Amino acid sequence: MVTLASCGDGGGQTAPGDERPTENGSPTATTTPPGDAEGTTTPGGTAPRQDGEPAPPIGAAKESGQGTTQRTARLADVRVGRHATFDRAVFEFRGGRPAYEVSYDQLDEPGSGRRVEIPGDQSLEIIFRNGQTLRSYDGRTTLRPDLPAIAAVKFAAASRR
Amino acid sequence: MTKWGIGAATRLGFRVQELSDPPRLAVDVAHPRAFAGFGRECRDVNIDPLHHAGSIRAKDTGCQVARDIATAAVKEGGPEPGQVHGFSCRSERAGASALRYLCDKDGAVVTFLLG
Repeated sequence: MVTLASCGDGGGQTAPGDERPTENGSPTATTTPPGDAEGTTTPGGTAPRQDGEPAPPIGAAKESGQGTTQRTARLADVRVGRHATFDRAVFEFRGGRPAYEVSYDQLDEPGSGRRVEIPGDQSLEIIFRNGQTLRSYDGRTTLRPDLPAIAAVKFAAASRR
Repeated sequence: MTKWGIGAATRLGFRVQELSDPPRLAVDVAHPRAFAGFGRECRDVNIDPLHHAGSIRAKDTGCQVARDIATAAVKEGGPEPGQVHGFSCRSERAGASALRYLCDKDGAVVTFLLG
C-alpha cells in the first residue's frame, strides 16, 4: 500500500490558535515531488532509491537542534520515502525550521501523559518547539507506509508549552 | 510544542538531517538488518485487492522464485517448509500489522514482508 501525504503549503484552513490538525484521511493525498536531494521516493511497490547514501548509524541516542527562526514555523507537509538501506520521514516547514528533539520514547500527550498508540513495536518521538506556537499541519495526521523500517508516522499532540 | 511519532518495527538506528530550501527535517531510520544490503530487490506482489507482499529480496536465487514464495504465503496463509520450491520458511512479527518471512534452501534466501 502506497501512503504518502501532501498538503501543499498548508492552505491556511486552520483557525489561529487551533493547533490540532484535522484528521481527514483523504485518499486524494498523493506524492509530493521531491524538490532536491532529499530523495523522497514512492514507498511500497517500487524499487528503493539507489542513492549511495549510507545507512544511519546504528544508534538510538537522542538528537536535537536549534530552530532557524524565532517566528512561527508552520508545518506544511509530512511525507515518507524509501531508500536503499533506510526509510526517511520528512517534515517540511514554511517560515523557518523550529527547534527539535528526536528520541526513542513512549509517545504520549504533554500534560495529560496519555499514551498515544502508534503502529510498530518502538516509537521515535519528535518534538518541535521554538518558544512560539507551531501552527498545525493541515493534512493527514497518520501515514501508514509499507516500508521495512517505518511502520507509521503519526501526529501525537500539540500544546502551548 | 508539537509532537509527532514514528512507529518502527524494532529499535532501529536513526539519524536526523536538517535540509533547506524549503526548510525540512529528515529523520532516517535504518532498515532492519535482514533488509540492509541483502540480496536483490524484487518487484512486490499484489495478489488481490486485500493482500500484498512487499520488500521482497532474493539472495542466490531468482526473483521469480521469490515472488512464487511470497504469492504462496499470501494465498495459503504462509508457506510450510518444503512447500514452495523446496524453501523452508519462518515468520516473525514486523511491527503491529505485518509479518516478515525468511525462507532459505541450500544457502539461497528469500525475505519479504506480508502486511
